[in-house]
Amino acid sequence: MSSETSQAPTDESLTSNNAGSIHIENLAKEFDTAEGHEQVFEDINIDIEPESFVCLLGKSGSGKSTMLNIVSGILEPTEGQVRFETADGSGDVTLGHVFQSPRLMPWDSNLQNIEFVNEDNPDYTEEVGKQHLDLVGLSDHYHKYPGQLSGGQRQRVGIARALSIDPEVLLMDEPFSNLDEITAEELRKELISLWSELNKTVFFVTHDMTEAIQLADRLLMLGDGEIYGDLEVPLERPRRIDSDEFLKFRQKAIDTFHSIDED
Amino acid sequence: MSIRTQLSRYNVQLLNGDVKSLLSDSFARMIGIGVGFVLWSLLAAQFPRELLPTPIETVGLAWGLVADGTAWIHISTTFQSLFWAFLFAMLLGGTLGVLMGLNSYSQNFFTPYVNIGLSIPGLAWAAVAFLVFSYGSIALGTLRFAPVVAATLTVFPYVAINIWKGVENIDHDLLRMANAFSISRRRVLWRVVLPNIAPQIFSAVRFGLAIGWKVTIIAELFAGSAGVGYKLEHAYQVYQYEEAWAWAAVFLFIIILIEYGVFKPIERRAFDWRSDVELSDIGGA
Amino acid sequence: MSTSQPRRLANALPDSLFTNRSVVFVESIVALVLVWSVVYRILPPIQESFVSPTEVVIATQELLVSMVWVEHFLASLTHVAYGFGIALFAGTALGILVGWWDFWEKAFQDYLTIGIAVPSLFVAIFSAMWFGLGATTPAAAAAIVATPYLATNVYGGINNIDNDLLKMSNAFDVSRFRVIRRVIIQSVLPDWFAGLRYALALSWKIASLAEYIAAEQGIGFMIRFEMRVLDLAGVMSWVVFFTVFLLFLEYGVLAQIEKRVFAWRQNDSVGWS
Repeated sequence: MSSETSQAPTDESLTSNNAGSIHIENLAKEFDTAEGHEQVFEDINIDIEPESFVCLLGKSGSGKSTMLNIVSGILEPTEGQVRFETADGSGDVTLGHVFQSPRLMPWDSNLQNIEFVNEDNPDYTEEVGKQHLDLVGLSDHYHKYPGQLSGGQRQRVGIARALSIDPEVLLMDEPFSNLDEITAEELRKELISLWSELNKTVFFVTHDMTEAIQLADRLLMLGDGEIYGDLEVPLERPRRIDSDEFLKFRQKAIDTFHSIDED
Repeated sequence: MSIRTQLSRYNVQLLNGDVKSLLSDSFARMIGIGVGFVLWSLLAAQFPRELLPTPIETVGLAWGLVADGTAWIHISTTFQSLFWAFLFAMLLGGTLGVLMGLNSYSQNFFTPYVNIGLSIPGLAWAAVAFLVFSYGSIALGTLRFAPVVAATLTVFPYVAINIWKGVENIDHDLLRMANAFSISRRRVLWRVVLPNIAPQIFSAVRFGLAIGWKVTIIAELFAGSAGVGYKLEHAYQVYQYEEAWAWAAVFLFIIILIEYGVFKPIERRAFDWRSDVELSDIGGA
Repeated sequence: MSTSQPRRLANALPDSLFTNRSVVFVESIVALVLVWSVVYRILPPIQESFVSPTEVVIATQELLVSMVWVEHFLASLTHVAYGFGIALFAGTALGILVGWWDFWEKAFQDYLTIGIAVPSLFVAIFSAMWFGLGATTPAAAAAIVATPYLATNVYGGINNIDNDLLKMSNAFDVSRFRVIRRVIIQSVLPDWFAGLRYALALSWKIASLAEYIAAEQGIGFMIRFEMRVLDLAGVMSWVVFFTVFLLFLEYGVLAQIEKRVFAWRQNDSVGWS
């Protein structure tokens, strides 16, 4: 475990797993509708490196959520498969989820919310839960209820909860889209800092181009049933959204993003 | 904080604001009890003793019932019926409520039963149960069937409505979250579903007990030998009005004990994660 | 929401059997009558004390044809009109008092709690003790029992007024009178009406109970009469009469008014229309 940009207080015990890689192979999905079959996408192939941060972009209705649900195992693909590789070679991966709305249980304290998902974790102690709340800057809120927190703080609990199960892959579904811009910006910076500390593979779904470029190593664009854009982000970190390189790359990415509109 | 206090900015100065700062809540409460006490005493002075005894005489009469053990015999009979009726009503109403919350066919199918049930007075069930169970004589040991059946049938629709609303309003996002984290069904039931419908379970219990014991007492009108309802009717029939007052006082004591010793503390503590417990909504059910 | 019907069965039958509310309503009532008839048929010991649906239908028909119901229904109606009328004024006034002034909230809320918890039989018997046989007893009992329910609803309604709307009115310098009329009364009306609905149904039930104990006319009195002669079908005919009337009042009249007047309030709290 490396710690070149140490800001958040981390602990050896917080990351025992290595990051996993994601392999999406020949993936196709169709839904049965009243009019017949509706093809969401087909023949999708993506390989995501361990410890990388990948953003999946797409307009509403492009099938982003369907893709995420298949990766997380909630939906079955019509064809193809999603395979994970882990350092121990087992392919047995733990997935951490962060949702658009935090989905916290209002009757449980923040600490209890974290404890809730550690059902099968024999190493879980209250200390582990507290460490993860510390990690997202909520040291003073262990025993508070979600209803007593701001929207940003609630989403922090959501992130702490996802990290607490020590996942090899973190799946994030537009986690900041319900927050105001200032809070979202703050959380993005913290997420990047956590990611570089903890070395998780992150699969992040969003429709916000600036957010995606700020966060990701690689942008995937989904539309018309295929991955039509796949860009490496060549920017150094930390990234400034008002720098010339950023704006130039952003323009290029936006051009790519809209390239399917002209057809 | 009352709405009036919110509005007080419209008036430059409100007496109420000043009074409020002077009087603590408990003082206002004492005044409330005091006013009641004085009014009762004044009224009692105008009427013959058996029609309206003074508060102190009433307490004395009630103590008489408690001291010679009469109170216990009849109250335990009433509570025994109530216990079983409550249990059956929770089972029946709970089952219907869960089914109604889970699928729309059950909802449409059972809604008429619930609506009709809500409109049938406890007296009607009590009368019918009395006649059906051989004039109230069918019993298991000391437990008579008629009051139990009457109270069960009156109470179950109230339980069903509450549980139904609870199940229907379960937060599906939380179930999806639990699914994404592969939480076991058992844990989801205990940690997500039950706390989610706990307020409705609580109000079902509260409603069940409140209506249950009212109906049990009505059913004892016909019971013929024991129970608070029987004693009350008997006291009325033989013009022993003082005894009726004594029973009322004993009952008032039990009501206060249950309301302030059990329900209010649970209400305050168990749901402190909720900013708004709207029990007034349930009053309209 | 999915039905739990087996797929094959569901496919073989028209969808409306499972989805159409009116069709399911008929199924529900038919099922009730069927279960009742079957239990009555196959359990001979019950036949001595129980009655079949047919007997109840015949008794109800006889009751309606005989016109005996007119006198007693009108008597009950009078009792309820007086009792509910008093409760309407007393309950609304008490609710406003307790909801509006902090002091009276603290002073009277215990009385509301106890008023709701007191067994109705106590109220009925004490009314009978004070007012004896006659119309006053049921009217008084109905008024005493219904008042705290209505008051509690009004009180709750006042407590739940949206503070943001008051702040908004304050920000726009809206006059106090206008705020009371346009914000406060509008906010409380739905709760008031819901309380009124419950209190009216309750008034009917309590008036009947008091008529059973001490009256010379009324539906409760007739239930007592039929019980004296141990006529179960007779008792049930009055119960059916009473229940059908109350259902009509609740869902045919009051629920419809509620739906029209409070159309802006898309509430799911009373989904059982």
